[in-house]
Amino acid sequence: MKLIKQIKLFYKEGNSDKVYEIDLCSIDANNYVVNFRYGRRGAVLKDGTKTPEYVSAEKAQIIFDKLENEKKVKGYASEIETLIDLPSLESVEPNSINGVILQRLEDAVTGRQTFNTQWKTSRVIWKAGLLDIQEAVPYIIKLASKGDDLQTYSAIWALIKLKSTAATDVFKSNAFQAKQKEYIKNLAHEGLLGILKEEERQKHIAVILETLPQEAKYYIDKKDYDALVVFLQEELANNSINYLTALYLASKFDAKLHEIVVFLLEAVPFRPPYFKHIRAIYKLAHIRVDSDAIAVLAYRFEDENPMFTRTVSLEDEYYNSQFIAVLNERVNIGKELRAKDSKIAFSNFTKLYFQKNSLRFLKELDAATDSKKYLRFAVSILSKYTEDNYTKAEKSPINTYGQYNYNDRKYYYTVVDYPECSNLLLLSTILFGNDKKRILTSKMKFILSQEIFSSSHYYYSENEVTKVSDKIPAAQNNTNTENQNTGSVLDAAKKVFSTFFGKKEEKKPQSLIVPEAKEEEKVAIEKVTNRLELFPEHWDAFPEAYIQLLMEAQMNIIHQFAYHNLKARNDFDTLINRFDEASILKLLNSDFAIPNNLGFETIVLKNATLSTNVSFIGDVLNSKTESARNWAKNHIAANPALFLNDIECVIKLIFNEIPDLKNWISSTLENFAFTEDKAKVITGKVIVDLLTFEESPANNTAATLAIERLKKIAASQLEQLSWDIVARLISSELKTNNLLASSILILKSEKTASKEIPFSLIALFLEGESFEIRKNGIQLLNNYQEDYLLTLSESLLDLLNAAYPDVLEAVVGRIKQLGRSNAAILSAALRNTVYAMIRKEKFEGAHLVFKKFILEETTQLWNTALEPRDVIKLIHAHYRESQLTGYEILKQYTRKDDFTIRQIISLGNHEILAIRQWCWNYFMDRKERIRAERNNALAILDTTWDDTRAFAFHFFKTEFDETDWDLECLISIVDSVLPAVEQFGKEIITRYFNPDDGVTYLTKLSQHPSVNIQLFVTNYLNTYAVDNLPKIKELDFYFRSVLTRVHKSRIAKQRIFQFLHEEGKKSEEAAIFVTEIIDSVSATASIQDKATCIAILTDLKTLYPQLHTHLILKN
Amino acid sequence: MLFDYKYSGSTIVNNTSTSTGMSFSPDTLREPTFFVGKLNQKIAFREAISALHDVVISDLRFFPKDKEEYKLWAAEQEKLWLSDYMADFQIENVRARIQELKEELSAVQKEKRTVMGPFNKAKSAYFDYLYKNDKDAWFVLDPVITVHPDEVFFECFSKDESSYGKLSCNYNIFTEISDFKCGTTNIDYSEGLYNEFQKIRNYKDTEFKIDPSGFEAKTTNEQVYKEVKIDLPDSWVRGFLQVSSAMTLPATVLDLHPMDIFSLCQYLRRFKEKKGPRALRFVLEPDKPIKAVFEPSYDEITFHRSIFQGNEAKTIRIWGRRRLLILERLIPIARNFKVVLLGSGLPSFFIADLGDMSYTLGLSGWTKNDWSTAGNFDLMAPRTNVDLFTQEKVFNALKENWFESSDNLAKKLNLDPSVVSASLTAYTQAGRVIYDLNLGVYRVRELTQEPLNMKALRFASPQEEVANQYITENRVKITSNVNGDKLQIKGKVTDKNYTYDTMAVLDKDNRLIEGYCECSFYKSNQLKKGPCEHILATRMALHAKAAV
Repeated sequence: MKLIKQIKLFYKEGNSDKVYEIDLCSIDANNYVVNFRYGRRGAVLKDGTKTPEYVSAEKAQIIFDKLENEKKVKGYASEIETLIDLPSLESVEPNSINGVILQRLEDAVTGRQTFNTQWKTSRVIWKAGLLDIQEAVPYIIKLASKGDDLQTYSAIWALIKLKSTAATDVFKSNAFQAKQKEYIKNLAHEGLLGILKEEERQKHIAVILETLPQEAKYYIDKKDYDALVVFLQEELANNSINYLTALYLASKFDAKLHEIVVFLLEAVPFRPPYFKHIRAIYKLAHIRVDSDAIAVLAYRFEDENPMFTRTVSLEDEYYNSQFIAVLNERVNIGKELRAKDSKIAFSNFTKLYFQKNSLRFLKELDAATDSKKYLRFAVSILSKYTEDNYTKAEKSPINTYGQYNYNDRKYYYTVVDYPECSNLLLLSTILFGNDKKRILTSKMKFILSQEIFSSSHYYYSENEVTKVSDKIPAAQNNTNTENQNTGSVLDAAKKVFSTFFGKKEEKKPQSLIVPEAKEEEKVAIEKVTNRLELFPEHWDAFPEAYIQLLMEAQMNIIHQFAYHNLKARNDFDTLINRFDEASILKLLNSDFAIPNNLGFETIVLKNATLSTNVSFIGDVLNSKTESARNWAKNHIAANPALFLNDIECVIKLIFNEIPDLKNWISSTLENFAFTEDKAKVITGKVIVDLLTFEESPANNTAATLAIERLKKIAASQLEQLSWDIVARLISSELKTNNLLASSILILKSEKTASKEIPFSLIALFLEGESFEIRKNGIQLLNNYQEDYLLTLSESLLDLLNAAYPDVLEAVVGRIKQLGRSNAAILSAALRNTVYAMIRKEKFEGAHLVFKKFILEETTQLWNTALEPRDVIKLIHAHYRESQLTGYEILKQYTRKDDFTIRQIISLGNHEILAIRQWCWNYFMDRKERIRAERNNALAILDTTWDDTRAFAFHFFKTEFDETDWDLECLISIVDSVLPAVEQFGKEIITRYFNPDDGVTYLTKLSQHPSVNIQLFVTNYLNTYAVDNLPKIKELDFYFRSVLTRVHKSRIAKQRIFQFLHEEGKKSEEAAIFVTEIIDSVSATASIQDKATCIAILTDLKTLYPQLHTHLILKN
Repeated sequence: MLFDYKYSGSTIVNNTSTSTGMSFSPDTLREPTFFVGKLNQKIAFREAISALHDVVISDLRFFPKDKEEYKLWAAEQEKLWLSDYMADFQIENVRARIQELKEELSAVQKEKRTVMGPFNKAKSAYFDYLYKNDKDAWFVLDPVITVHPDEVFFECFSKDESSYGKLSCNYNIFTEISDFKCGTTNIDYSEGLYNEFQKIRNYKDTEFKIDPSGFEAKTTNEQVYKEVKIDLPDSWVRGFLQVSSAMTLPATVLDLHPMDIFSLCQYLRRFKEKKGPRALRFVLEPDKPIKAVFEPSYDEITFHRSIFQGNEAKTIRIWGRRRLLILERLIPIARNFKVVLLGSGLPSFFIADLGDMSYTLGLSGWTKNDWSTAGNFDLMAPRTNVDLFTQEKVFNALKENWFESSDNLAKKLNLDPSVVSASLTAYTQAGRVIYDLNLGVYRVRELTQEPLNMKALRFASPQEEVANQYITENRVKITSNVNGDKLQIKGKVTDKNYTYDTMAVLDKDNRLIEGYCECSFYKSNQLKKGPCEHILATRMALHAKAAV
């Protein structure tokens, strides 16, 4: 018996001090038991079992979990939870906030009530965690499993917050308890990951990874992240990543995996089955303070539309159902949301909750007074926004239709004054959080004010309304009454949160709160009220954040904020002075004006150092900032020699695509005299760059421009480019490169002899996809001198495989031309075209071109140039044109006798009747040859064509006589399986039978598999096998084969039975042989055969009683 | 599923009166695999390879007669009959008119026949020609040949997706083995080869060759490769894998005398049942002769020379018994037939002991693998969980020696034998390993060049997948009762938010013949597109219940 799992639970209250141990053991692979022991701690425990019979592994696990849960509900807990010693509270100041909390925790453990007010234990625990009260750990551990789920959750949360290593057991028991709620398990796992040491942590991660599908686990084990990404994308497409949380948990110590998870978070829809993971990950990210994950999620909570807008109550009533458009069905919301695999998630309320929560997170980051943390979060969330999110500041009525008032018979409108980006909660908070004018409504929107207008029209029209009053928004109202000092967003947020978290907190007796922290906060806020952003002090501490925003953010309003604040700093100049060229270029290349502007300011500031930086100025000229470009332009114009002698700079100019610089660059380049060497190097470099371009429309235009400029400054260099470069340009993917190559070639061909152009280059041209390029190639081919082309005949013939009709025509034409003076090339071409016709044609009609060429140009060469096998192959090609061409050649072919007989027979098997007839005629014409090679010639009988076979039968019957046949020949005719041929064979054998060969016939034909021949063979048995025991033994297979034919060869069977019977009686040795066969056959279920067998066996057994058979004779 | 092959030339069997040369052309896209040798036991080889051919062409599915032409004729004729009938009511001159028209019509028809006759004749001749010329298209997948250090084996699977044949030849049946390289490859195969195989004789020198020359680089530009692209139905591949993975299941094994197979074949040839059930029942009692019972007549054949060696009496029914006729040719050369039965309605295997060769005929549960047998037993279900790492390790170890028993492998890798066999079973299901029933070893045999997509092959239909999920999630409750000839299973299948009342009716052949469900799939299609997942789940629940 092997122990699989064990848990020890403890219970201690008053005098009671008990243990409960549960074991899960395996008997063998399929049988498991669950045993338990219980009793007073330290005493002898009583045994028991929950499984009277062995059960399966799954069942055992269920019983185990059930028992564990049962005991836990009764108050049992793990050792640490039960037995941890509580600290004394004497040393703690009872009136401090810590003291109050500790006192409350002690009350919760002991059940006393020191305070008059109620404060929910789970909230106290949470607060303890929040305030980092280490002394509270023992209490929290003890309380962890005592209360409801929320208490457990708070306890684990607080323990993680407190980084308590003592809590390992609490984490473990919650993480691995099967019945525990998912959100508690997740948190417990997180806790374990936080406190476990290296080796155990790895083990734990492995346990978490167990829940992943095999593939994913395999890739993570192998650290093959690319494959993992591919796999996850596939899974995402199938909507089947139900292990997102596990991935996130496992990614705690794996930066790469974390990156993948964050990437997934950006992509997963906020829908089931993912939303519960989103929720879990958001919570886990909070406790990890994982700004990447939170930023992604917080932005998406704001950006995504809710899946549905809940309009009914969550009570589980049957009428509380609502139509959900996304699902296109009616759903009972409350019931569905509580169900295990809910089809809906992320309602408008959920969205609101998470938005508020992210806002609160911002605030908490401040509470930690850690500028870096806050800025990291703020910057990463700000960089998620794009210009698309921007909304204008405007005044508009909530509803364009007014509310009618019967008293004054007017319509009333509420008009709201919205600031910029009013619905971008986080952005507005970060950037304008200190703006007292902005008011956060309960819908998580920012407004400036609300006014009430009246009008006699039912429809809102700006000109026809009269202002009635300012309406003070509810949120503002409340804040003012409670706390007159600050009307900032923060308080509004706080208020909003009060419904979620703050309720109890506010009811705390005011005197007990130690107010220092709060006051400091207030002071800080008051100090910087002239600044609109939240927490200006954090921003001031790290101005680099502004720079990061300027470089990364994608929204003007953010740039404005960053630039404005940066500019306002005293050390602005020193800061921007630190920019290196790369950052300046980054700014200049931004799509937004402000960064561009900042970049230019920097340039101006650093003018002295930058003005001689050639490479930098080259890059600036290609930037998106016009002022900077002008600055660069002026520098170049002022000192062209410095810049244009720098090759890198010239190349940058050549590849510069800025439209308004086009003319200026061209003229600058043209007006400068480049030395020969320089021009050469420039040409080389430009071409090398061009070769790296991939095919795309943008690249093509860039290349066209560059080539145009290059031609202006180094036209002469282009002509001198080596053939190799031209070849590489042709084979380049970029279309423009190919054109460049052909124009270079045209330049070159004017000056060089056609000989010097390598043939391989022309071949490359001819392979080109573009008609223009091929045309150039054809022209070059035609320019070649004949004698020179002859030396290259092999390459020329290779061109017969060309894939384009125009090229093929040109090549064939050229070959014809050459053939007039040189027959050898024609022969070679003939062979090549024949091979080409055997192969599949490269384009439709290619075979016709070849056919024309073969039939018109090469008639006289057929006999010399083509080997017999070439002709045969051509005739047997798969293409009708080829077959017909082959037939034409065959008709004229004089080397007929060089065909092997097999080849000739194959012609008799051809689909085209004319070719079959050719074969028949050959047979008739060359009777002598056929006679001499009759063994091979007989194969004609196996043809699939009845007309050929009929001819063959006739031919052999009339043309051959006794002398022409021999034994082997006859047998090989019969060997055929075709019934007609078999019949013919039998006929011939019978006709020319020579008794001397009888034994051979018997032996050889007996091996034939067909029933007919087997029957035929019985004829020879009685004559040639009688009394010949060795021969009979040789025929063993034959006898068995015939006797085991199912429902066939009745006659043959009878004959063989009779024959064996007779032979068996002749000698004991024969009897043994016969008995073996008959004894085996006698197992048949066929009554007639069985009777025969028994008769034979009886007979033989009487003769030779010592024979070994299954038959037992009685009397 | 698309398969690509590239053969250098075709497989050729050259016959003269004194010699035979078999040269199989292997797939050049795969790892070079070749074998060159001379045959020793020629006749036996001939019979065995012919039996293998019978598997390739075997197609016992029922195809209803094409009655289209008859219906056209009948429609024409009906008008005539109707006019005859009407004529009885008409006055004399109308009758005369009809007679006149009839004569005219028959004259026209006669003329039409003479005019169109030659055309029709030529047309049918042309169709015959196409039929004959295109015969190779009948073979679904070319046979697979595997060369191992101890034997060479051929495998094939029938067109009707129900029979599997394997011929393994150990090296004793060859003399002069000159060259070989282990591996698996497909060989080019065509109908014409069968006729050439029949010409193998004991007295002829017979060369056997899986041609290595295709793998050498060719320089002449006339070389024509034969490229074949085959679009195999998924169900075919699935069937193949199902049958081969069935080999790894525990089974009842019995030995039959060759004449017992003869008797079985004889009965099947003699009587043709018109109505189901068409099962063959093996009645097994320890130490008693094995009995075969043919349904529906319940005729019984007792195999007096074959005693059942097992310890437990049982009855196993198998279907598709006519496929056993494939074994006919082996009767004279077989010493013994080993029958491996997995259970009623499950695949069965008949292994002929041919001395140095062994021939395995694997039969799927039914001849026709249509929906009526779906959901019977999930052979492709993963049987145990072994992680991919270990699986790969086991497979690589097996690859070293090409074949190995699972115990040896376990010893070598120091793993639990159950882990090893579970890993190998997973590879068997993926078509990369085969279990040799005869020797009890696993052999490397990669069915295809690229690993198969197991996700696509796991279930025959999406419905089956869902049904399987219902079973695993225990959402199905059934009650069954026998009603006359039929077994009626009533079920309740709980979907996410609805409980469907379902019914499945099985006939005596265990085939699903009727079904009922409340779901919309059933309502719109009845059983025309196969049963819905609920009916399937109901049927599968019966099996699951039996297993418990």
